This record gives sequence, C-alpha cells and structure tokens, in this order.
Amino acid sequence: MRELADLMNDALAERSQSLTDLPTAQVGERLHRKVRFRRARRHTFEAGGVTAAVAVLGAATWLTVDRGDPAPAVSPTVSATPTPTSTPTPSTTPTPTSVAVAVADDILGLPPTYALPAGLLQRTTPGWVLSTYRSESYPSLGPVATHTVVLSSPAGELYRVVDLPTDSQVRLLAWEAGTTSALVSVEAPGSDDAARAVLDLTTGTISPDDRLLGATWYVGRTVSGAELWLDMPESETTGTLLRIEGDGAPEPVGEIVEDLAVDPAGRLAVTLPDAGMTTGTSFALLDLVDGNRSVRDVGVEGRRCHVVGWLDDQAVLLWCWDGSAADAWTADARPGLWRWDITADQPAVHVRDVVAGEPYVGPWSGEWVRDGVVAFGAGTVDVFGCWSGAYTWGDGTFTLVEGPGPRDDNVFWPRTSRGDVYVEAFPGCSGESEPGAVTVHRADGTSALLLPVPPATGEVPLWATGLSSWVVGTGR
Amino acid sequence: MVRGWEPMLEQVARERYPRLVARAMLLVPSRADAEDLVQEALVSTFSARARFDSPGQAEQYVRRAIVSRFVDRTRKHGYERQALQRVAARPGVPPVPDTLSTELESALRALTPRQRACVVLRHLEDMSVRETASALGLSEGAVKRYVFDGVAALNAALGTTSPADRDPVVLVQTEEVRGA
Repeated sequence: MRELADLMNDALAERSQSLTDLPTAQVGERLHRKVRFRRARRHTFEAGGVTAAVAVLGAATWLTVDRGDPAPAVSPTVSATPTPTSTPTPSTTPTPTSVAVAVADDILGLPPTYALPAGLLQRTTPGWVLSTYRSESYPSLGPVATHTVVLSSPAGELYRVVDLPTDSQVRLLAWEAGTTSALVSVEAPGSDDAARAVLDLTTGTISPDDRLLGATWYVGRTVSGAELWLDMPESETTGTLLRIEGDGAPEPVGEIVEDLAVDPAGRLAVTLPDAGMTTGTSFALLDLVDGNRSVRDVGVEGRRCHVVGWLDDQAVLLWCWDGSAADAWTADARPGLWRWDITADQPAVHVRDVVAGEPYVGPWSGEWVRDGVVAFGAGTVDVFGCWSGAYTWGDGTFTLVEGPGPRDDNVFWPRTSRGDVYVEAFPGCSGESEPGAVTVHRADGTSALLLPVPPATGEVPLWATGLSSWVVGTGR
Repeated sequence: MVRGWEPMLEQVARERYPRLVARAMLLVPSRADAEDLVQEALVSTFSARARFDSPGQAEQYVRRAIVSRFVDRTRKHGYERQALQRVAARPGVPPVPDTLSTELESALRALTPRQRACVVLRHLEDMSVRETASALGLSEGAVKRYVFDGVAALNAALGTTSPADRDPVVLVQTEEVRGA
C-alpha cells in the first residue's frame, strides 16, 4: 500500500508542472510594490514602540468598522497660505503655548510650519510634542520629499526644528521638554538595523551609540531613570529586557515573552511566564530594579486572560474570556474585565462583563492615564475587523476618546502624558494606509490637532508616509 | 536603490511561484484563491524584518506563511464553521478524481481547515508537532488530534497508509492558544 507522504509529494509535483500559465512576471512586479509599501508603513508603525510592533488586530483586510461619534477636534490656530518663500517673523517673546504670528511656510511633505524661533526649544514645557515627518508620495514611495523634525505647540502650531538626511530613518523615542537633544533610533541607508543615538536638535548632529544595535525596542524608563530596551527579533516571541544606566553597558533584567507592560512608576513589568504562550491564567512579574521574577496565578476559574495594562502601581487590568472559546473578541466567549491586585494573595476580581458592540480590548494595548483609568485602541466585541476607536476605561465605563474621522481611520494608537490622551489615527488596517495624524484629548475636555497629515498638492495627490515618529515632551 | 530583499523576492516569485501555488491549492478550493494566498504570504514574509540567505530559505518561510495565513483566514471569517457544516451535510459521494493531484486536493477538501493545515505542515513540511502548534497558534494536543483525524480520513479516501505515528496521540480538548 502506498504511503500518504509519497502520494502527497508526487501529487504536488504533478500540480506544479501543470501550472505553466501563471503570470509570474506581473505577479513579481505587483508584489514588489506591495512589499515596498508595507515596509515603509511598518517603519511608521514602529515609531509607536513595542506595543505598536505587536499590534493585536493586525494589518487585516476585512470587514467593516463600527463607527462611533468622533470626538471634536480643534483645528490649530495656524492658517496657511501658499507662500513657500515667506519668511516668518515670530514674536520675540514666545509664550509657553503659542508663539506663531507669521504666515506659515508650505513645504512639500510637511503640514504648514514656521521656522523655529531662537530659544523656543529651551522654553518648551511638558505637553509640547516633537515629531519627525518622513514623507513619501503614493504609490511610488519615493523619493523622500522631506525628513524633518517638527515641534508642535499644545495649540498645534508647528515649527521646523531641523532637517535630517533623507536616506536615513530617524525615530524619536524620548525628549525632555526644555532641552535641545532627544533620544532617537537611527537606521542607516539600506539597513534594517537601528541603533540608539542622541539627536542634537539645534544642529541635527546624530551621535550613534553602538551599545544597542539591531532588533532592540525602546520601552521606557525605570523608577531610577534607567532606560529600558527590549531585545527581541521581529520573528521571535521571546526576548531579553535590557537596562541602561547612564553610560553603562546594557544589563539584562529578565526574559520577556511576547510583550510587556511597565507599571506607571517604572518598578515592575508584567509579561507572560512561558515561551509559546499568548494568553494564560498566570503571568510573570519582573522587578525592574533587582531583576527578581515571580509567576503568579490570577485565579480566574475556567477562563484565559490577557493583560490590557496597569490601572495603577498595584493593579493590572485583565481581559478574560471563556477558556474553551476560540477567540477572545466574540460575545460567545463571554469576555469581561478583571482587576488583578498584585499585592494581594487573592484571585483577580471580576469588574464587568463586556457584551457585543462594546470595545474589544486587545493584549498589551493599555496606556495608563491616571490611577484607575487606562486608554487603548480597540475593536468591537463580536465584530471581526479593525480598530473602531480610541477609548478609555475607568469608573466602570468605556469612553470613546476618538473615533474614525473623515478619512475613515481604523487604526488608533493612544499614548498618554500627564492625564492627557494623545491619539495617532490613520486608515491602514483595511486596505492600504495613509499617514497618521495626532490629536490630543485633554483631561479638561478640550482637544487639538497637533500633527496633521501633509497636505496633498498637485505634484503629490496622496502621501504614502508622513508622520514617522513623535514623542510628548516630559518634565524633568 | 536596490535593497537586499528585492532581488530575493524577484527570484522567489520568478522561480518558485508555481510550486507555491500548487501547495496552496492543497488548502483552498480554487487556483485563484491559491494565488491570493501565496501573494499574501509573499508580501507578509518579505515585509517583515527577516532576511534570507537563499531563495530556498525564503521559500520555506513563505510555505509556512501560506499555511498559517490560511488558518488565520478560516478562523477570522468563520470559514471553518461553514466547512464543518458542509462536511456534515456531504452525501458521501466525492467527485471522481482524474489525476493524482486533484485526487489529493479533493480528499484534503473533505477535512476541516485546521486538519488540512496540520496534515500539510506535518507531512509535507515535515514540521514537528511543536513547530506546527507554534506556527498555527494551536496547542500541541490539538495538533496531534487534527493530524490523527486528518491522516485517518486521507488514508481511507486515498487507500494510502502512514508510518506508525511519530508522536503518540493524546486526545485532549481542542483549544487555541492564540488571541484574536
């Protein structure tokens, strides 16, 4: 009797030989364009850091988006006119929130911007946002029209800080408001490897640091101010968390499985306990100072859970669902939110069931806003599809922070700072993507568009890439 | 500017596309679906950061991506449930095959998508149970069960046999471990 494996191999060879009329040349050309686009888009995604790189809903191409009411966005106070050669004349004494009084310049690949007034960087305060625009036209993806560091005031006025080489990729990772340098990663031309570097915002000088090369991702800072980096190749699901104190060598802190969430204070990280896991009933807590690691059962009977994020320094918000269900996002899985107090030797506490039509909160998506409140981009329970908006969870309630705008955004990446929620939104989950735009939604209820998409021109009717990285200025 | 991945993609597409489509036809019902699947797998493979030393190495990644994307598709679109319903409703008279390849494709089509994926990875890609589980986001127990059931059905349909199980089959609750 014939062996199954032999029959399979013979059948495969027969089928291959029968496929003589495939349009191989055209396929290669089409694939080439798509891959170039994806790689460029991926670079933009990565500006969001580790969480962005493990975006849970994926770059999918399906189904509809559940639309909420968009939060109101306040347009920046800058009014642009097509005067590319105008010379801005900023006021001599900029205020902390707004300095522009001149006509903004229209530069290909940038939203309307002003030249940077002398001394403005030094006067910035937390809430100003530093960004890079690296704009490429669609669909040809090139050449790079501009690669520029742009500063946004809290009102959305934009200032050109410094131009960067267009054949490199510089991504902002951290910036302390009031200072003239920023932590960045730099990809050299033709390379996918990124190096840690410091960018001088006054001269554009990039000082590379060869302590970290390759597949390392900036995570944030510990309570002591040390930098945290995750060494995890893109094709792997386990990696090593590294700590850098000042000029010292990177020190391993512990193993990370899939992803991690660092508590608001920078003392602990939560991750999965074992390689190969993506959900679980237990999680590992890693002490970022001494490297101690403990695995704790969350005690949610009959369910599997993933981590949303930290509610405060002592509690983690979990999304748990029926352990026998295939997917975490279906109503059949009876999903819900649990609060896991890491200081108590008690099971996680059920907070609320989540039903069809409410937000589906993916793993590792939560950003701490203030104690008890977490922000995240979310899909919709029982709707397989893309992101429906950016939300917060707190006081037992989901609140829509930002929904799809006129461009039908379906990817939402929030970050938080000092109680405000900054959301980068763009279309790109279904179909091909467009550049992102960042809007701040403040705790006082006001919003402002801080980093718009580059405007279309006769020369470039659509941009494939634009905003490539951004950081909110922190305090000292 | 010519980047490292570009000539590799061109070479893989030029030299190996028919073989990849043939593999995909073991999983999906039409040549058009198979081409879509292969192109998705090529784009995702070459869009990632991974680098390949040779077209053969790249082809191996793409072959695995074909299967994992097929399972993703079925999971996400509810195809599996529909396929199970179709199998349940099937009158038991398969179409008469005219070649070895269509005979195998027809027999595979009678399996559930996950059984199909597991059998292809285990018996064509020669991946271990652990590797298969990892590639498809399934538990190892689930992979063993899918392979056991799938191979039994194929042997019955094709009149073939398989060597003694390379891995003991332990029937456990079928369970996915990968999130949505």
